[in-house]
Amino acid sequence: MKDLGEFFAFVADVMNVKPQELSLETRYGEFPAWDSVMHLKLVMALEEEFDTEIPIEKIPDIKTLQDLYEYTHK
Amino acid sequence: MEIFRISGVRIDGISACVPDNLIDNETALRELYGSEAKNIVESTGIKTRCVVKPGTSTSDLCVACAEDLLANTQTNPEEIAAVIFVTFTPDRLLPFNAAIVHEKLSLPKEIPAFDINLACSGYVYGLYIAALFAKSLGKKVLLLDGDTQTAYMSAQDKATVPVMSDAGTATLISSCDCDHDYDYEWKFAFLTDGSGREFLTIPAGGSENPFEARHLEIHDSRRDVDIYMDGFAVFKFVASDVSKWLGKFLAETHDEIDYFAPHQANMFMIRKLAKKLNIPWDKTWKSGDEFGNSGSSTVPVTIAKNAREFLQRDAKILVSSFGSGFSAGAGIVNLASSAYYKLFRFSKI
Repeated sequence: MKDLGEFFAFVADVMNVKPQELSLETRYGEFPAWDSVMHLKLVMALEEEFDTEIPIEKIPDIKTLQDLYEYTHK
Repeated sequence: MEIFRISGVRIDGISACVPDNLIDNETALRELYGSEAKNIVESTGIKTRCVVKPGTSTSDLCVACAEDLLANTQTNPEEIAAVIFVTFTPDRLLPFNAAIVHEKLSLPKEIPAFDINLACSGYVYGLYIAALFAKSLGKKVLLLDGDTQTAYMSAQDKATVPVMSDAGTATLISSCDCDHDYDYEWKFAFLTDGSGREFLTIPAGGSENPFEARHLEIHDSRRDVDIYMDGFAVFKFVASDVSKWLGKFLAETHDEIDYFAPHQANMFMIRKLAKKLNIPWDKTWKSGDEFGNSGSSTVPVTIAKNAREFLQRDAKILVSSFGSGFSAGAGIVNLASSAYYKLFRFSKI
């Protein structure tokens, strides 16, 4: 598992934004770079980076970076 | 869950065509979205899409398939006892497409011919209804499934452009004397949630909102006569509802599935769906990465593309489709290795 700083660096790299723009409260649909295309891209990238699997029925439930971060240590 | 069962029918063949106008998705999307194009292609897994040239209609695609299918199954048009056309993009609003192909294929006059107005979920419905007709009549039924979605697509719409494509297909279903054999029993289930009707729709041009000149004005990247899709809402329907429902269908039918031929909504979605259903990825048939999402015809296109390579013996296939409505259909059908399967490029205009 990576620490929060590394997690934000990973998300920032995928979203092509600065890590300072992100927090655990960053929310899908409200943060401009996090649209539906980016949502799938984030899930795919996170699964590869953290060797994890997010079940299909859980993907729509990911609303914030806090929700996504949970999957880095499952 | 209601399971619809039918036996004593078989698929004699499936012929499918995709337009020979193959679009490289990333190159095309780069003009619209710059560097974001790469993300879109990676997220959907759709590398290329087939799009008709202007002037090609839905019936043009399906008639080409039907002619190929009838010729290669040695079927005389006089043997066709019913023709069913699944499409939401008919050549005209009136008359229905089955009438158009009835004339083009010189089919007998005293047969039923009708359309089924469903989008992505349509093929499974068509297959079940065609099987009912074939069994009831003891004869051959021609099922056509195709769409020219790009005629209803805004070139600037980020939701539809990256995934949607065009295709036509023809499936020949016959009655057979395999009624006694459990292995040849087909099973179907259907799912509808009309509360999702606004998430994948063409807002104008119907009786609710008759066509007016103002519907040709572009706002939010599209016109009111173009397809509107909330891609994430559709994904949520598949992720939350269809995935569980399909799992229940498999559990209640107790069939050993050889292959899975899902609607090719996008490659990410079907990979996740297969994982949820515990169906290995190499048993999941694909075509969307190469041809895009052509609507309900993706299922017969996918079968036509994969059957000749994978079917060394008769096999049980899980077919599943889902989309606008919301609507979904699932079926377990037998595919014979000896049946006719062909996928070809359509080049006529």
